[in-house]
Amino acid sequence: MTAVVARDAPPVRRRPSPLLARIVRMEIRHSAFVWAVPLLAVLFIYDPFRTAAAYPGVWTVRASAVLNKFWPDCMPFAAGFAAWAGSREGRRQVGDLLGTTARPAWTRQLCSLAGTLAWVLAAYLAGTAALYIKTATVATWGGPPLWPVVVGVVALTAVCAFAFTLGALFPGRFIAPIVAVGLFVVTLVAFRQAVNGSGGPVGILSPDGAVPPNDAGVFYPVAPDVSIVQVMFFAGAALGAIGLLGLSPRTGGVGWRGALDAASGGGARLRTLATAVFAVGVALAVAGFSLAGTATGSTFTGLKIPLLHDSASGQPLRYTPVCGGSASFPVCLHPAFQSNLSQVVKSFALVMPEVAGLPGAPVRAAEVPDQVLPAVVAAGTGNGVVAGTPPVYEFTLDNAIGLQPDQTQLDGFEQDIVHAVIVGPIGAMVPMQGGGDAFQPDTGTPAQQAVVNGLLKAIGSQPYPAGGPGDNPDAQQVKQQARITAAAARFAALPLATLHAWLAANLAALKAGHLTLAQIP
Amino acid sequence: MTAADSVSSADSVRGAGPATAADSVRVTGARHVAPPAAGSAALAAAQLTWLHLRSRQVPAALVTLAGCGVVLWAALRYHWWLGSGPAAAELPMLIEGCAAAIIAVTTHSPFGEPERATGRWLPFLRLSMVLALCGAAIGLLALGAAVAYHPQAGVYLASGILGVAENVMGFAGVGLIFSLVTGGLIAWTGPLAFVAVCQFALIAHYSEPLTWAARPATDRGGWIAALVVFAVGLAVFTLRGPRVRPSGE
Repeated sequence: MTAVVARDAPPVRRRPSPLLARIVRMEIRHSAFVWAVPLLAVLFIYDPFRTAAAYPGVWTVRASAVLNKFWPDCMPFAAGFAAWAGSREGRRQVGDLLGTTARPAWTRQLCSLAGTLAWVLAAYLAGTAALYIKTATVATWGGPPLWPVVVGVVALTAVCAFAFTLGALFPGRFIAPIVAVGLFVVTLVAFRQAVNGSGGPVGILSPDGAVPPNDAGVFYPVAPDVSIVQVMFFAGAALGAIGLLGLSPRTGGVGWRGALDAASGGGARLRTLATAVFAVGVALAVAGFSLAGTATGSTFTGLKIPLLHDSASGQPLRYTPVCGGSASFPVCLHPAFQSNLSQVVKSFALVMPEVAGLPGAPVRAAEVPDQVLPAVVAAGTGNGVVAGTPPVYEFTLDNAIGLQPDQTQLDGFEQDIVHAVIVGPIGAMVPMQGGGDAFQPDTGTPAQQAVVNGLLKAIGSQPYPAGGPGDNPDAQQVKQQARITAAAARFAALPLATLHAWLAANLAALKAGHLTLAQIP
Repeated sequence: MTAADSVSSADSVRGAGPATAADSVRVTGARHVAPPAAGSAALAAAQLTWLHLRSRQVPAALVTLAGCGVVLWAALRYHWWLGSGPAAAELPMLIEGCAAAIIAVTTHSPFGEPERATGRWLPFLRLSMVLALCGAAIGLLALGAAVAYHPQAGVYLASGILGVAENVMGFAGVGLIFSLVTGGLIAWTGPLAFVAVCQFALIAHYSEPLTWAARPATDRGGWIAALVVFAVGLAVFTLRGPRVRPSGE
């Protein structure tokens, strides 16, 4: 009869156990991470939010604060509290008591890890959302990049899993600060490698790195190669740590013996699962580390991983420039920098009337990607070059808009244009004996220097930076520099109309180097 | 043994004969604990101190602090992070923060409230323990830096021993203050958060006295701020002890 009933009964469909959800909810409610939330809020306002708010309103640049500033804030607290949660059973010496429960230790520990992780990710995502909302109010082009969010989430998950496992392996009251500071030290060392650009895999895998140039992701998309490799590595690390948690007897796991034998007794299914998770994790982490070692520089899209690189991602992004200025001298920018247009136009407004109509003077200005400018621009102190027929001033805003706002940085445009009209190119790259190229500036003749600096002074700009005598000038150089300065002051004192007329009459001779300081009015 | 034997024994304890007023005085006097000899008092004090230190896991803390010294030595010796200018102070500051976090965690008592009813020596024990641990931390970190010292190779602690002392005491003060709020076991969050703030101040060249670790080790304002925080933390911790949470942690 019983057998008949059993046969006739509908098959039992196992639904996801609400018990696990209840345990996770309980872990979230009792998590000690709540103590870190106010501290994280203070840290978030103190650095990531304040720093990002001062950056140009470009999505890629501001989003870099998520990984460069906020991620390092969250990481030590995530590590410390995960280690604290992981060490709980060992610290309270309740392993034997909990060994009698129906569920395996792994399930229990994963619920505890999930409780801490939920807090960590909630804090991280809340901070990221605040940064992105603030950016959305100022950005004029593009949208929020998602890779920094994904990388941060996966990396924090890995940190939590790793720290939790360490806490379970070595329970004690000191494990939380030791793990927190230990991982902080590792992050700092990896950050150093990332910033130094040593090219090693550790620097590539560090979520925390250098601030990108202002026009990153503006003219060309940012290649996701490095982010993919970081996600691979950290996902692998997380799975490896979780697998280790399920296998190690020290953490109440099923043990290593017979790990590769699915038919062995004593939690065979659990052992197989834990072993598979561990193996997949280690494989992913090793693959991510190896791929990171193959990273090479890409001209337009940053670092690329050859095996993952999609050549189509190197295509320029379409955009309609925003233009301002006068009809005689239009100034065009990428729409991402629309908010800077008036500043940039203003910086040209004083210099252009003085050089307009002179041979070599630009007829318009256009922002271009940093990478298409000649190497001398990056090597020197300029923001762009005057090139083409008719001449166009092509410039980048990478240096002109500082990460900390400074109006004098826009003086570089005036210096570039005046130097191009009076002297010519700012310099050249010359091969060095030991290999590579070095920038050799062309500051012009003393008369040219005097006219350049005099004209700049007349329009209220800074003198051209490369015109000084160096750090250790000899007496002759000092005397010569004094004469140049005096001539520049004399030239600057002329009325602007006289100055323009003199330039129109004498520019050819001046540019050819036929004029001396004494001939400067 | 019979009832008569019992009575006889009792009499032999009290002394033979009927009880008198003098006997009463004698019995009352016998209840007083005789003042211990100087040697046994010192032994008892040492035993009490040792038990107090063991209950706070001070031996393990000393081993961990020695580990911090080793990490500082390795960081300097193997050029983990040397940098120049403010950057040179980042890693040492982090290790000093770790030492302070260890000191903060050591404040936790496994006995909780009942221990506070045991006598008047507890505040002195707390005070002595923190001072001893701070001294040990400064000494061990200085030892690590001294062993690695190699100025010709550019290997030296940029802030010197003054910076170590200032940071360890100041960060420990933050940890002690946090122990009053969070309890001893989670008090490590205070020094850690404060180190993070100081790191940002260092990078961004902020220069408030309260972020003393971002200022030169010889800066008077930084020293005053660090010592005030340490003194406040130490005084309040000595008097009140760490917070005892209902969970025992």
